[in-house]
Amino acid sequence: MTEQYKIVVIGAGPGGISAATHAAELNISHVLLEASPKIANTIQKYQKGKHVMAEPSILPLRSPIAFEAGKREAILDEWQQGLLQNKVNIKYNAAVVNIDGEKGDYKITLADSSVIQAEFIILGIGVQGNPRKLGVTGDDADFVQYTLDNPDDHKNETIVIVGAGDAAIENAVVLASNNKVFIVNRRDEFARAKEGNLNLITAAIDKGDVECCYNTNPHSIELTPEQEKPGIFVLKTASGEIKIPVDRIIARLGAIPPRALVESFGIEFPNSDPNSIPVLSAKYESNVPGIYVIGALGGYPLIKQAMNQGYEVVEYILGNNINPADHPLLENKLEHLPFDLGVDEILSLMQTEIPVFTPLSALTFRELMLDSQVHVFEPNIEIFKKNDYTNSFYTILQGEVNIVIGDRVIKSTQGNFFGEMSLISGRRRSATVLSGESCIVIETPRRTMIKLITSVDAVKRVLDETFITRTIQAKFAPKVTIEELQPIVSKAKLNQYSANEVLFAEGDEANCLHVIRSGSVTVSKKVAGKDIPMTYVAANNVVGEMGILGNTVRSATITATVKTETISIDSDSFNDLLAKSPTLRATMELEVQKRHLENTKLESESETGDILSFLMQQGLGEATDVLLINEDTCVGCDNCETACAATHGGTSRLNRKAGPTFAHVHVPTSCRHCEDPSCMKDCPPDAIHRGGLGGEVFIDDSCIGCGNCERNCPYGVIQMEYPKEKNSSFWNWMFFNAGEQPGENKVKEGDNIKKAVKCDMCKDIDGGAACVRACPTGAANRVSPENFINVVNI
Amino acid sequence: MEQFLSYANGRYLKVSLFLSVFLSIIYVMHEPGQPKNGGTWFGYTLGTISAVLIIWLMYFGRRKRDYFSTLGTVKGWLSAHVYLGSSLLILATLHTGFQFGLNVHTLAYALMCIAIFSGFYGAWTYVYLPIKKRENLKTISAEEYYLSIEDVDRQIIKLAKDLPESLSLMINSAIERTEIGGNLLEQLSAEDKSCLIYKDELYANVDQSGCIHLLVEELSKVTEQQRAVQLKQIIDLFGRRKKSLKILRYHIKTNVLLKLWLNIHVPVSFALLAALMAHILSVFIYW
Repeated sequence: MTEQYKIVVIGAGPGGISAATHAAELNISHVLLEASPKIANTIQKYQKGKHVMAEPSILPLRSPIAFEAGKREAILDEWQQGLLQNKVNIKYNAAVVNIDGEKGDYKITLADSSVIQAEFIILGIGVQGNPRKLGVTGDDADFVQYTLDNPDDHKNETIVIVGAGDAAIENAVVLASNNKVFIVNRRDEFARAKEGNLNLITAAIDKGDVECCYNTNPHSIELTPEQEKPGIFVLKTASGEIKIPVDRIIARLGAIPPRALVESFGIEFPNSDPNSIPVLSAKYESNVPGIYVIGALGGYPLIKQAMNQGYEVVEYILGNNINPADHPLLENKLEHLPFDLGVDEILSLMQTEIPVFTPLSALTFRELMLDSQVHVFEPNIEIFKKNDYTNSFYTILQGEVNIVIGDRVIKSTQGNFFGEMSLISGRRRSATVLSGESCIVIETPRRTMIKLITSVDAVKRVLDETFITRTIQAKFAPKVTIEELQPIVSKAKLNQYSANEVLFAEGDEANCLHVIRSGSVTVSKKVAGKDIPMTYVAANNVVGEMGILGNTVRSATITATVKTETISIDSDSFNDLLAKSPTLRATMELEVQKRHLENTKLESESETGDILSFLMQQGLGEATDVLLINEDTCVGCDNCETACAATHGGTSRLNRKAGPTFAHVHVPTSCRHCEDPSCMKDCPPDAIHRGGLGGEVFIDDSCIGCGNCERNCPYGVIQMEYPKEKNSSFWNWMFFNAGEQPGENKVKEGDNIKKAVKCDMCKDIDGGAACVRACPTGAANRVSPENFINVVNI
Repeated sequence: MEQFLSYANGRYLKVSLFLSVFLSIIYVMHEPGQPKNGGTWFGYTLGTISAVLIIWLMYFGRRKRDYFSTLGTVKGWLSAHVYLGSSLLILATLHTGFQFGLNVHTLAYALMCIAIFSGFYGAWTYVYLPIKKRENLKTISAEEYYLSIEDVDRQIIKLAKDLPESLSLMINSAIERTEIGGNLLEQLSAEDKSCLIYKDELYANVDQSGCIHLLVEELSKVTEQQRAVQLKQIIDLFGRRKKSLKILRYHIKTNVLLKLWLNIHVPVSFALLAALMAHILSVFIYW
């Protein structure tokens, strides 16, 4: 007989546990299905003893299950207790493979082919996915595992690791010191691995620490309970079968993202972007009636949010119209507004008044507003200044603002938005904005907007169009009205280039010019058959105007240094612009002359090109401010590192010796404050920000120590460090040997967690970058890309 | 880019020159009515300026470590330290009135001279050695040389695996007994003390030549083509090893030179401070 429940919760993560427990305490028939043998699979995978934070701290918890910041083990234990006490009906190893039917009568098929009937389904399966299984007979044996908790638990074992990615390599290398380790690679090389891991594994294989089976596939696992080793792993190699008696098999074959599974249930995603989130109603209901989505899968990655949603979703299913847990927060946020309306009314008013937010679902907009600030400004207050490095996005709810570009002032009124240029390019503000009469604006942080752009196509489209219009107006025709520009705008194209892709090559026919919207490019010329980079052009600049003005062939090759987006304008449109804006030709010609001069100057320097290409290889194409050391004057005193440590709680954020060198230019391991920082992309508490005038990327105190940024940084400049004690005074150290020497602070005692630290460009220190100011010979310098050429030519 | 010596267009060079020339002129014109010495009004003036200068010069050690200070940059301070320190040589000499003897006063003067001249040497190393260091390293970093040696070693060991035992043992011993760095004197001399074991005997392997020599000898005897190729590869790899090792030895030596002088400059400065106090005290008590 098929089991029948009112509510079936799929996925025993924080959201699922909370939902099932709430159903249990209300005596609603329910079952909680978990694909793995334990609750909270993602948290189980955290390292032992990891401190789990309860962000956002201002959000109250609303769940029958307790949760507060603490050690991973304590939290898991508490949840387990909560499930027991509330007599939650939970099934482990119950992976869902199919859902059929409709609201009120769903049939859920599990991996073991049993079927469960449900009136409502709550989906809380997270975004981590399930590990890809070995898929051979015997892979359910208990010595087959898909993670490695603690390498020290294994000594003198024979372990076979299957996989060729970073996880497999890291496991193999760490286990090799105490065990006999084999690594099974389907192919003849480790193509997917990071450079560092590749070196590690090659060295380990050369030394014989790890034995590698290339071109080998797992075939089967035989159980041998009577023998010394519990099993035999049969492998198929190019030259036939081999059998390895094993203590343990660790398969690191990556995870299957849950999206395909979710889509198979009929749930729609707005686009193919891997970060996009299913469309949900304000009550977490998906486009399939009766199926609700909560937690990370619905775009809420934090534990507390997911638990609150678990509680709320059960209430919604029961038809209770409760206010979400974040209601008081929004109330607080909106109370200073001069409207006599409730939270929900104000939110829907905002969505009607501001067209760019209209296509959003109520839930998405609510989430956006939780992150946003609403400002009521007196007239003539500076909202942001030209050349600021802020990058939040503004929409006008009421009144007007004045945008000051040069000596012109453009008014922008209710419903419009501004600040999208810096949002998209990651570069400095291109204009100053002052508040006008009765001005109320909503400020939305960059991270929230980026998430929105990837998940709602309509928003992306509107922003792109406006961006193009405003770029063309600002760059080429400031006096021409938007209506007049419309035909040109509609012909302009948005182009995307990956790193090292050529925009156009020397000798090509010149048929368009490009405005770089994000990313950067190098300009190179052929000298003796070799492409020699001449200069570097950052976002918000124009390339290709030389050819189009002179109506000739391209005089240089333009190559994207990093992922780059441009707006291209064809020659006809450009001629239109020239006609509409009489002074444009003269200004552009002046620009061209300047560039010609620069080019000839650079051509005589043969080393310049090589150094410039070296800098680009180091990924400096996406830098906005980088520490470079001139090896011709560096005496190796390490005062820069000590200065950094002494001014930043005892941990240096730069490593002078590390990092590559070319000729006299050394790029130490230190943050380059990327245009579109990878570290910011996945920070659960949103603790990484971009500063004002300096544009520094920094981490604030709300860091929860998850280490995402450290992993995401392609340049290895973020470290996880314990907090350290304050040092005693210099004179005490000097004369009485008391305390530690400057920059060598002791690690703080007590139960602290490691947090992410990185260069913050000394934003809180008078005088600016301590490393540069402490360099006795002037070898250390912070340089922005526009000035690379000066560094190179010393 | 601006060097510490040319900081602010040589501002402190100009200050020092002016100070030295101006005070020298006064010294020449000064007629105290007794032999010129530190006890005249002008002598006291010079002494006071010099003493203050010494304290200030020594304060550089603090400023260098005062990472929150916004009073100029360390580069500016170093520039001033070097030039004003140089002018001290003239000021203090004038202060002596060229009266020397075997006493604490001359001791202070002598220590000061040692501190200043060791400083001159230090300034020289700071200006020239980084360039030498960079030229030695060619275009890559020392770290990359170490990595390349590791890589070469791996390749050699792999290639040497199926050579005759005596040879593969010799090759392994040559790798294991490669010496680089060592104690201070060894680092400074950059002498190669590497050796190898061949048929149970220890041989020197300066610049890997012992090893290369043995391998070449073996190569001349080989008839099998594959073995010949293998040996040639190993010889080439040892050649690369030799190059990298040589570069690193020089690199280590320069790094030592860049730091070593401070071990004279700083302690002598403190000794000078002590002698200076004795000098001042004795002058006031016994004069």
